[in-house]
Amino acid sequence: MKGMGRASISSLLMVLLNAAWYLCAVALVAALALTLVGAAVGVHIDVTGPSVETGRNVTLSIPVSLHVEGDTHRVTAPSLGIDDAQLHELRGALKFPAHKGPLFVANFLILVGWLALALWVINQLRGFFRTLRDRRPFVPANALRLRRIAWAVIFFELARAAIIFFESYYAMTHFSVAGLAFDARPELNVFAVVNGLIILVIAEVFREGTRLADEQSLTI
Amino acid sequence: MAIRIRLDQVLLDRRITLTDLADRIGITIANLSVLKTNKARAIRFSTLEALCRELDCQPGDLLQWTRDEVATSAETA
Repeated sequence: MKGMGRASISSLLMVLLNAAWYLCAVALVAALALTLVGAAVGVHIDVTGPSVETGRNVTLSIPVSLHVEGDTHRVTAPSLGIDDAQLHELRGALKFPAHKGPLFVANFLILVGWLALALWVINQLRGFFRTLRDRRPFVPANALRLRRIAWAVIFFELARAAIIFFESYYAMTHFSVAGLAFDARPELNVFAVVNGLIILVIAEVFREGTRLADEQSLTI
Repeated sequence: MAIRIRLDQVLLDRRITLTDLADRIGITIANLSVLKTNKARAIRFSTLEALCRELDCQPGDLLQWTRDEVATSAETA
């Protein structure tokens, strides 16, 4: 299957991105509208991000990291002769009833910000793949789009790590569960940041390609 | 740019239209127009050769170097 032009991978990705964009747009509008009218709505963006359900019984679901206290929960494998295995670096979501206070507002804003950022990035990608579908990849806008996407990827990862840290810290300071302990540790995905940096470099390659294409078009 | 194409003058001297020239050397009128209006960044040897052949002239008849504003201001500074 060819990469550019009609009936190519680019045109297939265009269709998928269009669907994702409309899905995000509908989710964003629905979340805002239903929250404003106070109806019950649950929007889940990411298992590692916060989710908010509004309505009469407000519930929050925040990402948490935890570890198992070995004395309370022993992990054994008698058939293998192991009696001191350990579960560690566990992740999950803590769901609890919450009041419509600052925490709810903060999580709801994070959710809306998440969706808005996704919408914006998808829109940049749509523009990029549209040019690939039309077989004109080296246009000045593409270098700019890739640069924006790269910064968005880096920002998204830094924001995600910060949010998870603060949500875990909140859980650690306010909640307790027998045999388990909540952790608050920074969980930055370095690969995501590196991916962002790689996209930044590719953006520069596109900028140079655009310059060369422009020069080529004016060479008679 | 300091190098200018004198295509319009040469065409006028030889009483040839841009359309005729485009047909003879196999270059689109749009591209010849870019050349004629000095918007081109570069010219291929093959294009120059075709122009010289059809217009019966030397490359020097088509190209002209002039002092541009940047060069002039640099010299006066």
